[in-house]
Amino acid sequence: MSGGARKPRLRPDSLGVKLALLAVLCGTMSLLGGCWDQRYLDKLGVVMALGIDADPTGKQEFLVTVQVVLPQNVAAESKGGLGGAPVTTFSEAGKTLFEALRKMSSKTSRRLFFSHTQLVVIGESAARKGIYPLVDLIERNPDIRSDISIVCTRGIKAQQLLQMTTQMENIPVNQFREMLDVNQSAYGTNYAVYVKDIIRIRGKGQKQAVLPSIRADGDKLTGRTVDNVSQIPPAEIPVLSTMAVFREGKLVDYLKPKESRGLSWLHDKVKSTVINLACPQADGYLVVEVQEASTGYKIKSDEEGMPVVNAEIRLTGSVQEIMCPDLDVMNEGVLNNIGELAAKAVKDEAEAAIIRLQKKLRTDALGWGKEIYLKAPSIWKRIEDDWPDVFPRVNSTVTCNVKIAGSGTRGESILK
Amino acid sequence: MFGSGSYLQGKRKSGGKSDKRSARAERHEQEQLQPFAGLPLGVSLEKNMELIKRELGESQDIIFRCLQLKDAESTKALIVYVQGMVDDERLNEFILQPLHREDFPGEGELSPKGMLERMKNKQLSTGIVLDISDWKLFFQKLFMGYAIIMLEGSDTALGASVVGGERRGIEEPKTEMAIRGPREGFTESIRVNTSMIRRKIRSPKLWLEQWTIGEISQTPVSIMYVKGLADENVLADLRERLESIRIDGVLESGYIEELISDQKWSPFPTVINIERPDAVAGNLLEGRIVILIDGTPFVLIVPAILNMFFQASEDYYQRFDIATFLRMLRFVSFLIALMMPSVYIAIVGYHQEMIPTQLLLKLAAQREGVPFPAYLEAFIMEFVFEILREAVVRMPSAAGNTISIVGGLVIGQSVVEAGIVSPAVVIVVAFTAISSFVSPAYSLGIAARLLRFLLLLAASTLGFYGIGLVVLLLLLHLSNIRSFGMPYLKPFAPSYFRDMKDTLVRAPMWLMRNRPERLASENKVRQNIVIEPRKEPEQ
Repeated sequence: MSGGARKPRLRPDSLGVKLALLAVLCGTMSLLGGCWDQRYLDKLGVVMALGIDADPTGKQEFLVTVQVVLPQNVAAESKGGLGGAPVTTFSEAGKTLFEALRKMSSKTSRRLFFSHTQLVVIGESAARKGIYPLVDLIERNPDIRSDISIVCTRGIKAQQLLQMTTQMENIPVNQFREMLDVNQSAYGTNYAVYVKDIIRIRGKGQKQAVLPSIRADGDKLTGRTVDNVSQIPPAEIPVLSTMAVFREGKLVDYLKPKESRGLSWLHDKVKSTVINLACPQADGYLVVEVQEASTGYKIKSDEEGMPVVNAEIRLTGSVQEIMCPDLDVMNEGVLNNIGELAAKAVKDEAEAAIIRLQKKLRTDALGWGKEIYLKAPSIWKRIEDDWPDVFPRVNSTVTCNVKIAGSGTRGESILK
Repeated sequence: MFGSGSYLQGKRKSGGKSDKRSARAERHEQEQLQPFAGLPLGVSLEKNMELIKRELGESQDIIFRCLQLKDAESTKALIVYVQGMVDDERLNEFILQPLHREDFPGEGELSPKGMLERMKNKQLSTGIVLDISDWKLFFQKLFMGYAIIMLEGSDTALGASVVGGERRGIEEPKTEMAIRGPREGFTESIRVNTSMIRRKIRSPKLWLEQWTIGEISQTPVSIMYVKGLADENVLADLRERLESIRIDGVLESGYIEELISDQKWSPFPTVINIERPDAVAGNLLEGRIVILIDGTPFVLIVPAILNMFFQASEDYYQRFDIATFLRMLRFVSFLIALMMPSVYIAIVGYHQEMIPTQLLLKLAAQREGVPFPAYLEAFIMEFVFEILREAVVRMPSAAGNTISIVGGLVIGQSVVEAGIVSPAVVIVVAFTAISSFVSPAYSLGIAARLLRFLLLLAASTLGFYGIGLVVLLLLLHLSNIRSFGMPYLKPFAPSYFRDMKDTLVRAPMWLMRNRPERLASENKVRQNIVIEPRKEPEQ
């Protein structure tokens, strides 16, 4: 530069110094990136589901199964697809889950990628040994989300379930997940439980876990082949069973369907369902479809200072199917009558669940401890330490109000 | 981003340098038209003609028309003009015919000077007639399209404006199309352009100042502003900047734009160019200043802030609701044009957990068997698109179909079918390309076009973190830019809530009661940048 002779080489405010400072700043900023790395999409094995069984050989603790998507087979129209199964599974035994997962690298050509894992399947055998140790990895590992669904199996191993092909959904995991959603929103015997829920019940209130369960129906051998989905109906299908009850993380029993829905009522998980009722004055049945349901708890204490739990279930529904002759649904009195019948049926289901859980299984899967802790902390403080003994003796009432809002798109019954 | 501050200091501290600079500028001036400055015309017609011929190298398009005045036969007259620069009909009707036909009594009674005076007052019927007494003015007017009349024995000449010749007529603007609004666009003629603005604003307050810029090209440059609305500080600043330009030629407004910009190292334009008279009028009414340059339909407007580049004149002709929707659409598509490829790269290369599972599987299926990593793919396709785009702009229009077939079908489709590039990248690049054309201001689109590659680079090395860093730097940079003292991000930063009515939203006309706040007048630190011609860029 021509005029540069008179000024010092490096002025603190000169452009060069500023640029150098900027470069240093940018350089140091790039160190703040934390834990992340470039991963090529085509070098990843996307794990959709994680299955955990007790190791059948008994040498190790667990048998871990992952269901990995084969993207080239999922998008049928894409080039180079071999037309094979959309997923595959890998199984490995280990003393810990993480060890087993890493040991799988001796079998997979791609790095397993857990960020899109959507389902954790706990095999019945592993569930009986306890589920709390199993969810620690999911909570602790930053790669796996903790808002993923968790289910347990009934009568089969998690490995078997994950190896089954499904027809309606290309990727079996989607079938299991959607099945749960659809059931919860249309019938309500099961409801989805997430890993974070399991983690949350470890807090105050001593709530016990429940999980939806899945069993398999049909021919096991064909179930894992592509043939399974090329026949109508498939040889083997997954079926949602009922909620499984855990005590201190260990599976104790499965509920009956009526109890299972009763539990759903009490946990306010029912979005919509149908209630079958016997006709009031004649043979035959009629159906009330529930469109809105909400459940609230009130905690009171009796003379001895013991808590009394009042569950109040409010429903809105409409008559959707009538198989009785001469039922005048245009009459509001009749509708109210039907509402009372429905309320009684719902109350029956809820009480069945309470009797099973409180009196027989003696497991607070109802979450009453938590309700008392939240709503009547003074009582809770007193009974907290011996809650497992107190719980079976807690008195409860269930009230149910059903409002029948209509009778569908038709008035009177066509049965005369 | 450090331009303004250090620049001023640099100037202040190095006094010796600027002396040297002005000496050089003087020398440069002397080489050009300056030798003629103050050199008077001679008395002898013969000698004058000789000098013209010598100086102009006997150029064939300079016409010397000798004629005898009627009734003054001993006095010879000479008309000089440049063929093609004058309107032949007007020359004939208003100059040649009157001089030929009309009586010119009083030979001997009047001196040659008196005869010229008489000619000027009685015979020449053109609008502008002026006295020329030195050669500098002579040549200036000659090449502006004046006919110059000289008389034997007089050391002054008359210049009569018969400016004309073939120029492009007023047509629909090519760059800023509008569905609703005036169909006229500026032309290459500065007088036509100023008249088009005057037709929009018929106010005595609309003032015009003119310079001749370009030592050799002698290009007329005008500024127009509404007196009382335009900020006097900005005006003074602009005058100073224009006056200090020393350059050989100004062939397009781009020359002036680059020379008067505050930000010489920024990809963001701080001067806006517009081809629509209605948009220019709108800006004048908001207190901005217009710079017109002869020879180009693109006029410049200062000060220009970022928000202006998202405004189209049509916004004000349509209802405010649709105009607001379109505004937001433009902002969004600017962001898409800027960031979409880099966001795609960041997601595919680093943050696979962020996309929905189904989309991830689709993308993964597409990536199956593609030989290049995603970022390289994106770079290649972006580059191919830029090549295609440049080819389409430069090629003869007859080849248009070939390019679209080769570019669209062969490159787009075959590359995917051959499995060399994944379809997702083609979709991303195509979407980005379309978004980049939404911006009404081409010059801002260029900024997005260049910065896209910077963002791509950041995304392919650092993922979203890199994008975040670059965006942060861009924001820092943007908030540092000023255009003639006006903060570039106004009214967002600094926030002027009342000015927000014409930013992301276009408020209804009945709510836009105030003109934009005149920030520049409150701004004490102006950036008086003296233009340095032909100077090596400082660092």
